[in-house]
Amino acid sequence: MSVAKISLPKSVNRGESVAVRVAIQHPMETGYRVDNKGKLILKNTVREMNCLYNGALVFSAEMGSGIAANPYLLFYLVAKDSGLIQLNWVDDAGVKGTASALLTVV
Amino acid sequence: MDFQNVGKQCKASLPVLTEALPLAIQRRRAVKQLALLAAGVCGLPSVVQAQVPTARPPLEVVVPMMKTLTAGAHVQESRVTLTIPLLAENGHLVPVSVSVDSPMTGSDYVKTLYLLSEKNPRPLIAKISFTPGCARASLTTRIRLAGAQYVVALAQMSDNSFWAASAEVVVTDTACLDAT
Repeated sequence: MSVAKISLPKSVNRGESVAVRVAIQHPMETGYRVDNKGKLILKNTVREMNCLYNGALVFSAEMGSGIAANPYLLFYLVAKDSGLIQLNWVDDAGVKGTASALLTVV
Repeated sequence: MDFQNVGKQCKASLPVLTEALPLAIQRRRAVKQLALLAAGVCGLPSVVQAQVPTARPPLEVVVPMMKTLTAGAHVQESRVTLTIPLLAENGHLVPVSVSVDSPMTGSDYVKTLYLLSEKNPRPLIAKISFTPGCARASLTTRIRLAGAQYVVALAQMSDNSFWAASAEVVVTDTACLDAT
């Protein structure tokens, strides 16, 4: 089970850029580590992450073992209307996660 | 205090200085020639050359994967800014920030941004897809690096042109990505 958090400014002016900070709690297993019994731990990383703004896809990231554990991403969106910023992601084990935050545009 | 007299004193001492100059110059020349001679003997010119940053091999050689990503298209090395520490103490967590100079309008925007590594077992660190809904083509994240190497950021624009930037990172504590 992974948890994600989206950090947004309290409010933004219309047309301005919004810094979206995303942190997903995930081990991002590389597939090269072994457990204490010498068995290889399967690769398990957040494969894909999509960001929807009021239902429209605005940003997406495909990640691999090169991204550090507990991936953190900072990107910028154009503030159009107040609404929902939603994150959807899926990892190699097929576990899906979602998180959302409300953006207030003044 | 009599400032006029002070001025006169200064003026009076000037000729003494000019008389001493030729001697000083002679000594400087002698020192310079000695230094040059010593440099020649010690092979100093090679040391000076080593201080000039060594040229990085072409990006396609650094990251062979780039050829498949660009399908052989020409890659220009500008417009992309890659910010990464010169010395990363911990290879498991290296902060990296990439920004691409682009107006991000519907007709001209950055389509895809690739983060590539020279020595990681999987050279593709991340593939980021931007849209005109992004205020700027900028991304900050934290990556893993297996050893000192070059990190390359490759951007594909909406007109399918490719732009890139690279940076050399020294990693003290390597992320043991290949179980070595």
